[in-house]
Amino acid sequence: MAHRLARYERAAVLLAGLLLMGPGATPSIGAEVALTFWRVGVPDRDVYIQKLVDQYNASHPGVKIIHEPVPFAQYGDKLSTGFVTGAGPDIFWVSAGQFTKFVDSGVALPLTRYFPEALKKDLEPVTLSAVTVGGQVYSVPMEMDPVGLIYDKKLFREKGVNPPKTWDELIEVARKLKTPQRWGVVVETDPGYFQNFLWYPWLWQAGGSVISDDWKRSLFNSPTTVKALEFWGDLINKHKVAPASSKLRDPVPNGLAAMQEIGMWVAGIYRKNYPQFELGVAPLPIPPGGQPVTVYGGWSTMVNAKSKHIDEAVKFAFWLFGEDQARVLPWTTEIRSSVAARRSVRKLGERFYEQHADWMRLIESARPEPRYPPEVVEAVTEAIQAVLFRGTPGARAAAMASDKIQAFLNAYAPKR
Amino acid sequence: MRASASLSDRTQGRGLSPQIARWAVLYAALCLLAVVTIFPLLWMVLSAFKSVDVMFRYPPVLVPPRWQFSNFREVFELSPFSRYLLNSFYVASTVTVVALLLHSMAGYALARLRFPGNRVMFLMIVSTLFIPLYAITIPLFLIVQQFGWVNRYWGLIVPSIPNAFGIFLFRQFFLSLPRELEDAARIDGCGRIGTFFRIALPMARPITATLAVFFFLYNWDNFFWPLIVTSSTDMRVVQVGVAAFYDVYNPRWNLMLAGASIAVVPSFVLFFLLQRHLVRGIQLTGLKG
Amino acid sequence: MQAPGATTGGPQGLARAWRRARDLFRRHEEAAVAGLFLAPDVLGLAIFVGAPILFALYVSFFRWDGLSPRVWAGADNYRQLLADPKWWSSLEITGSFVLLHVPLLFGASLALALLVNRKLRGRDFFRTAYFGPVAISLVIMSILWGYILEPSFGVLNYTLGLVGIGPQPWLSSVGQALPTLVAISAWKFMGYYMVIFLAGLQNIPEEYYEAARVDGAGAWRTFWSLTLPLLKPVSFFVLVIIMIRSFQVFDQVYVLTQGGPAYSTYVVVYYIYELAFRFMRLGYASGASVALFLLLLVLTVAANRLFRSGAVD
Repeated sequence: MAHRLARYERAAVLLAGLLLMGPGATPSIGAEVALTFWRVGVPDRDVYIQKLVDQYNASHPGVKIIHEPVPFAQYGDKLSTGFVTGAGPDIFWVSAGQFTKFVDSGVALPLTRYFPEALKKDLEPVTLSAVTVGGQVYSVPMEMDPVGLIYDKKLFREKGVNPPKTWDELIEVARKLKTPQRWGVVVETDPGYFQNFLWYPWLWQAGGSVISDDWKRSLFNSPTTVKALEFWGDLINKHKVAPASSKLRDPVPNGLAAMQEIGMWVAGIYRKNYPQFELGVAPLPIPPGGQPVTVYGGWSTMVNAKSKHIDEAVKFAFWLFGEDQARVLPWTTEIRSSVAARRSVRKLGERFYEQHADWMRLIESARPEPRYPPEVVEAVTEAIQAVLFRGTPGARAAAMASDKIQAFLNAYAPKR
Repeated sequence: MRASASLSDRTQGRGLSPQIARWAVLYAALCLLAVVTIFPLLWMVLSAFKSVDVMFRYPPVLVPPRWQFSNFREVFELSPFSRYLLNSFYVASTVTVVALLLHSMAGYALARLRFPGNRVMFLMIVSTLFIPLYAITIPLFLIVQQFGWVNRYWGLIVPSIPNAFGIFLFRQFFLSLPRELEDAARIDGCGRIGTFFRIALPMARPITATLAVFFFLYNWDNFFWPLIVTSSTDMRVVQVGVAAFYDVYNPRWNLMLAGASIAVVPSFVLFFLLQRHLVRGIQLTGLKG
Repeated sequence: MQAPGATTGGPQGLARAWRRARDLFRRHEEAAVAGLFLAPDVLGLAIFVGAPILFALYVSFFRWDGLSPRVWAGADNYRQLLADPKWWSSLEITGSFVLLHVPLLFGASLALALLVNRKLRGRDFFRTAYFGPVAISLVIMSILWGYILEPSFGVLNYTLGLVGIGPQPWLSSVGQALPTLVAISAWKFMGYYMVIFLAGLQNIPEEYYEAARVDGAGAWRTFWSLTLPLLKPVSFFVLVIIMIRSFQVFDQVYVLTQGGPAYSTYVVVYYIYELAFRFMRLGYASGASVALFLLLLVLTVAANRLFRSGAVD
């Protein structure tokens, strides 16, 4: 009896507590203008951005930027829900995957008339055109993550091997270095944006393309596509030099693979976590008659067109990484290990970029990650997955995907 | 209980070996299964003490060669992890207590009380289980937004309370309860409410203990809804806090595992504490209280 | 009883009203208590689940990306769904998952409950061990199983290699991915339903077992004629819940395979999720959800008929 009463008493107390504590933790908004700023967050990187945000808030009385980092894997979901329910952020980071969605639906504020001339001149032209649609600029670029072929320098030295320059050499070198404990090369196998991102350069090298520049025709059904698809498929299924699961963590430094196609961001991480490892970087191998081409990714800062404080939001969007170079440098160099989109920042960080000269060289031939709408991305994913895992011949996979893409493009009529 | 009569009883008239053999096989199977269920947890906790270069080595290394306690320290340094734990604890316990009370009442009503529309009501309640969360996230968010509960504890707690699962389970349990005790109480003049609180609910201790663990666990591990309804870091729950260490550029595996190892503790403690209630049988003889 | 509308002075009137309420209550005590007991939960369900479901139903008749105004589409979404190969293939994959998962999980958890219910040495340990996986959150599942099932360097293949079995692709092959997910899911939830069965087993009074033993019934006979029938309400619950949840499987797919490889684990709810959050086709996603809802409704009613034990006895 006493036990029972105690239980219900406790329930009552908790309920009372619930009522009292109800409101919960929301920051008080005085006479200030409050803006929310969302980005993909990881606790160690959040610290630096928070520092910048605090700096901004201190130097701009009357405005309060609320920095809310979101876990990487769920960023897209949170953005979608936020905008649909009107609870979206005022300023936020986007990558190529979400870019078109937000531009087409009117979420992205055109920034052209706010864009400072100096910044325009300072930015690498390709980064600016990557965020320009129909003559309007929709976000502020900040970084470039070029993709290359990393390899174990020490291993290559020991085996007297040089980094491969062509597709055939890649197969050869991978075969030579493959052992039961070590794969030759790792290509991305999990379906999604990331896999597509790493696959596009192989298509481009062969001279191919997914859709026409005017986004009206699908160019996917072509021999170049078939070549690129089957090359990856063969690496895994025919030559068996690449694993069917790329869920390996840090395979090259761990000695589980000799080479991997990955981006510049690993440089900083590997230096910290695997100090004994010598990271080698080479351009992606090219097919016969092909051109050296690679891809780069990265985030840019967008403003919500439905923000209640457009001017303040725009101001912060440019202030963050578009003004003082000293603010940008630690971010792109030490923290993110990427290439700054602004030439002046690259000049300031000369020393860092000299140390990463191999990566820098890739920038010259790097194209931005395409900003295809999800339907196009999905079709490409289906093609890649079918060839890798179902043994579908490249020609059929390419044709099926191309039909889907063309059907989508026929109906695609964004009102911007 | 039933079949565990002493070995000698059962082997009378039969050979000794088949019986022991059967027990041995049984035991071996149970142990093997225990290994399968424990091993991943063990790997998780042990790996939480490893440095990154050891974690994914091959051949696999189970026990860390060097115990890196700094992983745990980093988790708390880099993020307000104790705040996350507190948030989760507050939300999970509140929901559990309120839900247990409400669901036991509702389940009892459906199981024992006659009223028009009992069956229909039951079906309608169960039908709320047929829709996946992802289909109703947006309208749910809109409703919660109307109440002003976005990024607040209310938004985490209240929508998590109504749950057909709990009502359904309590109902089935009360259905399977022998009626003798309740009938006796009614004859003694106990009203229906009294019968519930004094007879039925105490007999439901195994289910209540079970659901206490389940509700707590579910809300403690809840991930998607808290992610959507809260945005500020100080409102984060523990699983979002763990997920925050993942990022395609630099996934902090060791920190994620350290955080998860910490997060797993309260659930185990709760299970351990309530375990004995799970196997308390009921006696027909002797009324309680 | 006072005639309605009779006017009397304050306190007397209140007293009469109170007595009338009390009489009414006593007459319809059962219904009144039922109403009282059910009200909070039903209200909660109506607001936080019922209303969103109705909203989803409403939206399913529109074309809507969440950001632009809704466009009336009539039954277009449903028509499109019927002709959608991805819908049917995801249904097929989900069906396979259900057919494998439900018997495995139901059987395993029941067996475990029966075994652990005996006075076994180390019973507490086994019970806690089997429950362990339930406490592992989803976020960790992917790291854990990604590591264990890694085809070239994972723990499982390494162990199998020690006993001479070749490495299996597990989640990296079209053939093995779905069964592997079924096994992982069973691993995770075995202890969960075991605990429910255990609680149900406690309902069977000791006296019944005594009587059975006195009658000379063996273990199997006791189980079949005594335990199983008395477990019917709980079994019905477990079966229906496992079935519903298996049809709605999402979490394991989300963290482990993302529908791959090559869409071999692309289940229905994952499709709905992508439709709603990635492709922003909220009308179509709602239509698919309503279709799933109806499917589950039909299946549950069928299970109810079949079992015929969920009824109020």
